[in-house]
Amino acid sequence: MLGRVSPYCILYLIKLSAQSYHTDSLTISFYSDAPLEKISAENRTGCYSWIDFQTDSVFVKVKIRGFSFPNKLMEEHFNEDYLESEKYPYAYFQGKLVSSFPFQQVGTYAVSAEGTMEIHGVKKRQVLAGIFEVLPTGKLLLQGKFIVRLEDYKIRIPRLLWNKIAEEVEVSFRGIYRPERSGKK
Amino acid sequence: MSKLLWIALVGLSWAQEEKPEPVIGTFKGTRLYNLHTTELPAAKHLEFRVAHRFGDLRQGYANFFGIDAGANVRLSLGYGILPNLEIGMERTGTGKWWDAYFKFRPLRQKSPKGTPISLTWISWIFLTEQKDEVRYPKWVYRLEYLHQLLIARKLNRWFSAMIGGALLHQNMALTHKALNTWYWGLGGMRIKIGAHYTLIAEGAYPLWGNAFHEGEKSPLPGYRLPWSLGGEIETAGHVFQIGIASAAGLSENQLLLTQIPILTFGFNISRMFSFFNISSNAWTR
Repeated sequence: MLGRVSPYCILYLIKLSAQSYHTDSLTISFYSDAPLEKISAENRTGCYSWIDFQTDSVFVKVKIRGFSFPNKLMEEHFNEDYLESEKYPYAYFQGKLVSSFPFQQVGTYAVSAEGTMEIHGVKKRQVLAGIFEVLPTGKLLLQGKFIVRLEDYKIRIPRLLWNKIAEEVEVSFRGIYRPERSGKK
Repeated sequence: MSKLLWIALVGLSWAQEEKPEPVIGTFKGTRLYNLHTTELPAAKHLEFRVAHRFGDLRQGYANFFGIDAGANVRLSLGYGILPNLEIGMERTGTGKWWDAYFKFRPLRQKSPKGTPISLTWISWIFLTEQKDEVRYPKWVYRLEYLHQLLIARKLNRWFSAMIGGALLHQNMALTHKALNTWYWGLGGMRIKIGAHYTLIAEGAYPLWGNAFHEGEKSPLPGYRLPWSLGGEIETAGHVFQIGIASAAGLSENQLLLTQIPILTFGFNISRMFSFFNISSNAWTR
């Protein structure tokens, strides 16, 4: 009896686990344009995201120290004085997909997620919009952009520098998700 | 099920990222006010630095706190060849000193756990352009050498401290009684008082004998302890420093051997230029 049941169980588990995807590679970059100083940075190594299509949950974790700037002094100031990465080493997003999409069917879908973003220790509701491309290999390619207002997350700009640093920063993300295979690791 | 997986995954990613990383921002700049810190420009970064020191602050308003007296200016260029190696060149107005230095950091503080301190070694060669036939009969007498070893630790987000030693050799002594080689113990610290502001203090203590003896016994009568106090503000690619110093000199060989009783006001501006290509990420750290 048990012998007949267990293959179904395993199948069921595989099906279940195939509904959760995690990132192989996720790059988050931002760009801020102010009259005197253009600031850009890219985080290739410190980002991780996970989506579970069964519950439509989305989880993103970003290591602040992972942002690489062309100018290392800017990078140091970004960590030390703006994002205070020693105190708040990670930024998070935890939310739910607003609407589900056929994630196992090749195609391109506009998707948004609503949830809580935590940057610099400050939590805020945020809607993220992006485009999912389901690739023939079964992987998902995600791309999108959103705007972060520095004031919302209590990231202080010295008043002397009001025109040197933009108050809004455009953040872009690009990542590849692949299906989670539990029991293999 | 998915909740459990979630917890496991989050736990896993936490565990992965506990490895030691270099501590950044022990000091805001490569210099405190007059003295060097343990910091260096990152690889492929060029630091351009302008330092101004004005006249005697104690003359008060009559001389507009020394600013009317004009400024002693020092221009510095330092280039980070490797993540922990810098070469630099400087020119100081007073005394017409040229100098070249290299700065090497064999140890860098890491956290959590790992190397507890940063260790930096700096060596200079100074050459004056003063064509004084009496004092410098041969050009080799116009050379001076300085070596420093600095140890610093960032104790927490707000406080960093530094200690070190310095050795100066002058090919031509200041007077016929003065020594050719001098030694100092160095100290410096910074206190962060806001996200973008810090207070800095530094000093040097002479380790040669009879340092504070007056008159005949002293190798350098009227010697002044060099110290300075200042404040820093940072912008994205700049560091501004203003301060008050007990030493009139700007180049290390002069400011460590000050004899003039003076208090000066001054400021430093440092700009970091990057020649770093973001695609070759592995280079910097």
